[in-house]
Amino acid sequence: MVVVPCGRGGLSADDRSLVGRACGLASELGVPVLAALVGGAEDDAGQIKGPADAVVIPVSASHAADHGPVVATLAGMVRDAGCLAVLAPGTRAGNEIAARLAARLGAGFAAGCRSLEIDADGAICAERDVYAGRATATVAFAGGSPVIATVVPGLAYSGPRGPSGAGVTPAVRVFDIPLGATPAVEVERTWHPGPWEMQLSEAEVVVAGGRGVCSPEDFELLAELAGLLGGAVAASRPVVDAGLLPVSRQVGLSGQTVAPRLYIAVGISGSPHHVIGMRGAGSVVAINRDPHAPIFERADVRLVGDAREILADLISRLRAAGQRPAVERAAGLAGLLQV
Amino acid sequence: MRIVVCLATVVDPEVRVNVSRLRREPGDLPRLVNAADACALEAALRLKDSLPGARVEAVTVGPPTSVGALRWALALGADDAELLWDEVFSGCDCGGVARILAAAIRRRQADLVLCGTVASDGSGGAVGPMLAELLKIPLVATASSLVVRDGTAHVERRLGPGGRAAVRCALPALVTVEEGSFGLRYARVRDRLAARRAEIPVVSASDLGVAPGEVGTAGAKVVVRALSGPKPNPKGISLPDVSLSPEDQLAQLMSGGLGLANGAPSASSPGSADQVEEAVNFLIERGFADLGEGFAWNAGHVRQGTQARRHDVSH
Repeated sequence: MVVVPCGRGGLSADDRSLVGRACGLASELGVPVLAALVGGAEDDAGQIKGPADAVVIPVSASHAADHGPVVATLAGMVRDAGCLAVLAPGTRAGNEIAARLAARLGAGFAAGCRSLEIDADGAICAERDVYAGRATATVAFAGGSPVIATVVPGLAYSGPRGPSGAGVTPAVRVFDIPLGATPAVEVERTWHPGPWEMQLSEAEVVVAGGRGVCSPEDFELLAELAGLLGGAVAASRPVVDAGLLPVSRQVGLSGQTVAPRLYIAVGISGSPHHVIGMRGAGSVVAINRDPHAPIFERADVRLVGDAREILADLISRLRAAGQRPAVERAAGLAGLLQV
Repeated sequence: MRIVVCLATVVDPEVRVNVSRLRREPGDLPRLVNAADACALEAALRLKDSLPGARVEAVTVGPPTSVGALRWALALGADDAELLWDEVFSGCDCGGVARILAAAIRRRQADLVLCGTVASDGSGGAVGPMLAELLKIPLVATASSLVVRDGTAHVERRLGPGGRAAVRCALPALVTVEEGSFGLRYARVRDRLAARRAEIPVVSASDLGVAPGEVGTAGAKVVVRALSGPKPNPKGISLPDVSLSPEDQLAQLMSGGLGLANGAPSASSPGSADQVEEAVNFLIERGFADLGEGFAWNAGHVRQGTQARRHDVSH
């Protein structure tokens, strides 16, 4: 069984990869796959490729913040179906729901697994990072079924996906959770602090500007991009020395060390003093005029050209694709399943 | 009002340790109070300052060497501390720890339970939610600020990628606190000395009423079979274009795969017209651009690093 918490956008690439992973594991074990889409709509089930039946559990707006009823429902489903394993994405919502499910069912739980395998004895094994990433533990689930694991998001799955399921229409049903009158946890409002107020230490997306974009107009563009992606604006040392931004926004050896999921370096050459502050970033997008800039060595996506043009192009394409600033998106979050 | 704070000690995340060192009993490595739990304690102490008659009680599951964390909590202002330890507790997985804490908290009849969202040693933030489920109280996770008024907790939460939510929840409840949410206070020297002399009771399995088969190695549903070196996420390697001269090849390597091949920008990557298109696709695929109406919610990952202040518990 796979539990996928969804927003109104449906399934992401990570979710689909997770379903593929579950199908692969299930075909090795010889069991069917049930995908539980929590908080989604019935059409989202169509995005699942693979022989998985789908159950859509819509979440009502007033009860979105309390995951208790969702967990109770999932526990009932797991028991009724006699599931051997439950997979969920290793995001905050996924970890929370999966952990609560494990406590409810008395099942073994491993969070943040990088890989799942079946060993020679037929037990399910997983590999996960422990000791703050300093070691990798191979763990075995030794408590009987069910086994609950969450998988690190962002790791593409390239293993076997089981039978293709083409020609078989998976069954989709919608399950409404019985709810109490008042929710245990209520959301009063949701918001986003905006790219200038957000602290670098907690930002998951950081858009940083360097000497190449050292002017207020350029930083307006950077702030616009950061606003679209829900991130924070940062700068390297030359910008802070020029007085454009306060030291609290500096990333580097004499500034802060950040480890966001996405780091966009605009007009930054990538000298070691700066790079040491952003080494821990998950993905790096670098924009620079100079194709030999050292920053490109660290970058996953490399954009060469005039920063202003590229930024303007990027922003317009994102807006054209339907991306809205995080500040607007956050206001409408209250009714969605809370991450 | 009774507030119970669950503390965990972890191996100092900033110390470089070899895997072979971790494989042997990591008992004498420098240990700290987990940064998120330290923020949870600070939140509890601030509530105690603002609410008359509130009591803060600290509990830890761990061998007697973890008692330093409790002494530190007492020095900062906790009213009471308890160490939960028994021989049968060794080898617990996160479910076992949650069961032990649940038994201890049920004995105390707490109004509010606080703990950190995630411990850097690696159960991935499981204990808090499991504890809420076992105690059958509502859970508010990833809190960055917390106020209690008239039996209701008003919590400001950090959502996935940067969003915030203001949430209210009736007590009793469990709130997990994000690290870095609070500026931590310092203990006065005389309080630290007094805490060093304090008697901290050790509570055993039989006191808690926990069956040995449910905890420790006997009750562990997840067993660590092997510990190997860290496996960082792979980054792409760029190979130089052999049709270039050696200087150009070097330039291409140094710039991570870009560079001019015979004066023209290389077609597949950047420098070409659809590089921005590729970038947008990258953002969408990785979940940074959420084109629907919700946030990019699969983007809320659980962090394990820490930059918060360190609290040495080797008292």
